Amino acid sequence: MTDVLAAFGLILQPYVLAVILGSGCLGILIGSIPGLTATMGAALLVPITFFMDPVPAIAAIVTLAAVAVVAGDIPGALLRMPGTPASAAYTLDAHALVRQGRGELALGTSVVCAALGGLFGTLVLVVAAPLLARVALNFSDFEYFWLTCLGLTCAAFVSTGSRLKGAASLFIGLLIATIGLDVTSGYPRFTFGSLELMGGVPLIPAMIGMFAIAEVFRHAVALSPAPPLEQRPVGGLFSGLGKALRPYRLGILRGGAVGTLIGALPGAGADIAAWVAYALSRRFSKTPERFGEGHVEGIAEAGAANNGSLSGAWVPALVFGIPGDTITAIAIGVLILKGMQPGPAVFINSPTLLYAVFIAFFVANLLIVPLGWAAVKAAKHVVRIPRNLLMPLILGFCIVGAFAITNTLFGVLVMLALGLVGYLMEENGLPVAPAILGLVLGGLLEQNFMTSMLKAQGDLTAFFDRPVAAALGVVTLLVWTLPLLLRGWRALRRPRPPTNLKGPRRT
Amino acid sequence: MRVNDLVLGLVLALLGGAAAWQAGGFPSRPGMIFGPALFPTIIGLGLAGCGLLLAARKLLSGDRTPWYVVPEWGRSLYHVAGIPVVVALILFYVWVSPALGFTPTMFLVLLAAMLWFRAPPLRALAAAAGGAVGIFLGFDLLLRVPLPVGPLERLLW
Repeated sequence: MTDVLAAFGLILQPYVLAVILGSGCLGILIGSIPGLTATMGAALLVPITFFMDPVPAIAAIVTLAAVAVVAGDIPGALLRMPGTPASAAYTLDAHALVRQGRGELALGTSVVCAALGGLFGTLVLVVAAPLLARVALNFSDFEYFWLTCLGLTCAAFVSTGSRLKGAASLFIGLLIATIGLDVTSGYPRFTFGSLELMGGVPLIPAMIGMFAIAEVFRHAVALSPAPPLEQRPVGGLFSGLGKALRPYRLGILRGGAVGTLIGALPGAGADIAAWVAYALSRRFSKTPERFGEGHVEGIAEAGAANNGSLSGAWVPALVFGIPGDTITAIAIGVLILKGMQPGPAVFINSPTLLYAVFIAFFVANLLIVPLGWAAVKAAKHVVRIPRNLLMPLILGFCIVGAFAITNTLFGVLVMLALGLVGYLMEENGLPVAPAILGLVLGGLLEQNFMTSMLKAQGDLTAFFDRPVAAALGVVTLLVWTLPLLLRGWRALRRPRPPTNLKGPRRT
Repeated sequence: MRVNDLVLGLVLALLGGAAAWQAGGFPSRPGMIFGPALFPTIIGLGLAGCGLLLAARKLLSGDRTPWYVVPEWGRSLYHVAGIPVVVALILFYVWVSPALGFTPTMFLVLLAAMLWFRAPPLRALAAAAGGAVGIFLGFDLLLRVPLPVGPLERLLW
């Protein structure tokens, strides 16, 4: 109990509260501008949070992400351009409502359901994480190896696009992670004689490059000008909301649950959670034909899901050190840099820190309501900030941020290189998220792999000796081979239609 | 720079193959069965495998996407130059800032980028100046990051 009180003491300090409020406002800015994602915002925030204590640092990232995802609904409703990918699932509905003059219903629903979903996710986090940690305490290197494999595979397969490209992206990330001094023997790998590369590719500049610089590149080649703004005035946000949302309260709960679960899957973040929840909502709705025409049910459920996923992503992150989405990947990268390996040991060694993080989650999700209201009021002006001034400022901020982490210009060069890599990857359909997870977890994966191999003395069956390891191993192998097997099975079973190569004659 | 899956697959396969080949040369310490070569070799082979599967899938599917598709912005010289300009600005900062100092270099970079992105010149001047000074104050004074100090700044304070 004293731990919980001490945790409150850690949070309710003016400095921490100011940081939370500041990142909330930053979240409004980043979420409201299309093209700036919550992940990018977290990456941009890192150079600042890097110099803070862990509690305000995590609180800042959590608040920024939660508010940015909500604020992303605003340009979606007003401009039909989602501010963050997480809002894309219900942009059509929200925009339709604005055109019908019921914009406050759309945005009020967004804000309130986001808070509800986020709070639900936080509740799950607070309850499930310690329970899982107790299980994880008994994990050995074999279990961690299989779990990390499963998590990375999930990230590669679940990301949008082909599974093959997701796997390729993952391998690219893992390969980049091997650059530097080998962890078991100290041999320099892929350093090509460079002294700086011996320390490996610095994580934060890499992320800034892949998420922010790549976006600057995209802006440099973008053709389309900004679309005109819907000028309908948005009135009282919360009036009549309770009555409008009452029939969908089960859906909102389902949305929060689905979101939290999907968020907990590594690599699956708020955008996937929102799409899945939207699809589920339409499937189980009593009025599916109204979806897409301005129906609030989809907005409510998917809006709850995308914020729920933000909290859910922290479950594997805190318990196993495996990030549930790209934002937690960034947060874990920061924690590792500060010498704090997230894992079950944190639950024993620093319970106060953990409770403080949980309280920060509650505060952040509660703040969504007032900040969301402020965001809607400010949206008209924020959305009009000219990109030709904003993007250079982001560029400058990235350069300084990348420099600030390593205090060398090498960081800036890494940021540039990985910005180009990230841009080229996305252009060719290779998702960036698996690469980032590979980069973050590559070192850990290899460490677990090598120690397991050394323990087993090369005997691969040792990977399946322990029951949990065996179960995880079998599941991982199934996930790897099942898609291929299924495709082969289907191809065998389908009767081949007679192919008419000539086709109908054209006259 | 979008290439079709065949080229992409071959590039990835080449990359993975090169990595695995290079990794094969990493020596292990005597007495250790597995050394620094194991993990990168597996990853390199995995990447090469993905690349080959990607190329094979494109070959077998018979779809006719050309190996290189000129993007919509490819016809405008301004847009084609966009990315090289950004790269050049970053490199400019890397080379010039130790000598010139942070604030002037950043001001030049911001101004050049804003003007390139077609911002109105007066607004660009104001925003670039404000941005450079603001970032300096925020990072150097507030966060105590050792940003390079140049001759111009030494004159001022």
